[in-house]
Amino acid sequence: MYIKVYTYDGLPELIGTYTEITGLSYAPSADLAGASIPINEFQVDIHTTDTIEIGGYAELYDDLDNLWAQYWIVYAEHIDQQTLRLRAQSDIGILDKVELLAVYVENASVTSVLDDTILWSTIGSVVPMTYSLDSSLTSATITGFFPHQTARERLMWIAFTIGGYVKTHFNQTIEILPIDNTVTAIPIGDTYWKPSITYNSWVTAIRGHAYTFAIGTPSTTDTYVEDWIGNTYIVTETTITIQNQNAPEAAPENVVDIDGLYLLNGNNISSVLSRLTAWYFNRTEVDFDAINNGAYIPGDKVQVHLDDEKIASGFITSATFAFGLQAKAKMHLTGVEDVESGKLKILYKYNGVQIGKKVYSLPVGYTYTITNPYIDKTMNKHRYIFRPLAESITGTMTSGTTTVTQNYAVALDLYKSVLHIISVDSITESQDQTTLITIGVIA
Amino acid sequence: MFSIDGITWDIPCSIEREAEISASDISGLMLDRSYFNDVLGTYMSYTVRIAVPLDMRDEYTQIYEALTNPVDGHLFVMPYNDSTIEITARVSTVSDVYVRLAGGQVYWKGIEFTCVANYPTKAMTLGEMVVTGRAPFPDVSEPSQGDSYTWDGDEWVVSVVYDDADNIYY
Repeated sequence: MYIKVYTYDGLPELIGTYTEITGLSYAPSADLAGASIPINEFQVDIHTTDTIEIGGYAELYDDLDNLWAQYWIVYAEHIDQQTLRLRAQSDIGILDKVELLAVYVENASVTSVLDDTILWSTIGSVVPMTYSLDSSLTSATITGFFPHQTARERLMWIAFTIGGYVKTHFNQTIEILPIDNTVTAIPIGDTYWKPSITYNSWVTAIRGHAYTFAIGTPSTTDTYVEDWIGNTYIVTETTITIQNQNAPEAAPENVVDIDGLYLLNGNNISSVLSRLTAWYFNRTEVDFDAINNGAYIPGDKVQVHLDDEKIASGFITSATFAFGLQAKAKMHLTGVEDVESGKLKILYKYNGVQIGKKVYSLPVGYTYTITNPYIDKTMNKHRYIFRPLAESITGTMTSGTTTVTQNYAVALDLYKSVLHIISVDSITESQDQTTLITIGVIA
Repeated sequence: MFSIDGITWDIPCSIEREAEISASDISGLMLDRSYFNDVLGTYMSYTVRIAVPLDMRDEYTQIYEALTNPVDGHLFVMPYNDSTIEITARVSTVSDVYVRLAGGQVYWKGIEFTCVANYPTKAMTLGEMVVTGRAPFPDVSEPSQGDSYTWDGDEWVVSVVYDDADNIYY
């Protein structure tokens, strides 16, 4: 990993690239339910005597030059003579310090509302910010009332209403994305021992409040809001409740109340609540560690093995990275669902004799391609190297147990320190007495 | 014979070498019961015991003073297989023994120190690791990235009698 540090005074200027990193913490998260927008940050200890001013920004890259984060520097102090500790935060940290005035909007395009939010935030913070809105969300409109609030809260309200979430990691901008149900499978061999499952209390219902606004002079009993130029709007409120049909009758009442979000109205309340059921009515969460060189990030839907047999899918909401040569991440999944799996039993045989076996637990419907291994086995004091007759086995997983046989031939036979070469592709002897034996798959 | 910071010392000594194949803290046991070894590199360390003749007391003191300088690393040239290797290595302790003979003669003897390389002698990059997967096991039974294995040394001896895939004897 390495860091690029820029000053910003109207234009960015690269002032240093630092590769001697003695400590690094990075734990991006994303709230897919839309209840908040986390301020992602990284902290890095750099072996340097340089002094770095706050106000610029820092970019975190891996050794393959992939960008992991571009955040604003909020702290940079030497913790000893040769170690500089630098902490940098996403744009959301700046949006959290910008206050926006109360305003009523009606049938406003989401892009215009976002443009205003980001524009005023840029003006208010004197820091350039950009955003991108996924094309599937650009047609959304906003009707409702924004109270006096921070730009971070306003962005959260907008994203929540249109069914998106905010991503500020592995990019250079604020991204507003839809929930993507594309599943990426994490190999069992890349998953650390052992994932843990948490069962939360049942949420028995979700209640949402929908609002309408009528400009006028409120009576003493009216609920009203007032925009920044003094217009008053009389607020009418209705509620909609969705019961959790899966919750047992004995479960104590536990209602999630979506209250005071003035962008919810009769047109969008049903779809918003129904979207939230995926998060609140699913009480299973999974925590697990996996080798993660940036392939699985918060917001992604992944499929993970829980043990030898069980497989689950869910959305990553946080990933706490630890770094060696490669990277490991402790990840948290919500919206977890069981994945039906079957067992694939592969028997490796030579002349009808079983010389090996492997059993895989794979999701039903998964198309697998599994390379047949070379097998080193000692039998009757002979040490054999067996070679497969086929390079790999492919198929589509079904439920239950599927047994397949793969046949092998003897390639090498070591007996009493003498190597008998039975079936190889080529032998090359080099001048330094090294013998290179090439063993391919027998066609 | 070895050298420290450019000065070669041709003096009686014994040198013990050790190669540590260091892995990071993210190494661990995986769900398929395999062990993930996140190898960062191979770091050499040398333990040197010096026996300086009594008529080389100045050299003895020079070596001691050089080794005890409070620096983050020295440049060493050390024996390595049939050649030498240059490493920047740290020295954390230097020990020797004070001797007083019956006649009143005193001297220091037996400097011993260990230097541990600050940088790996051999290392893979993240790109190489990601492309090749985990480092192959030395056991030839494991499939590597290709279908080729190198067989040499004491354990494996190529026989002159074999038949290949075409059943032709040689």
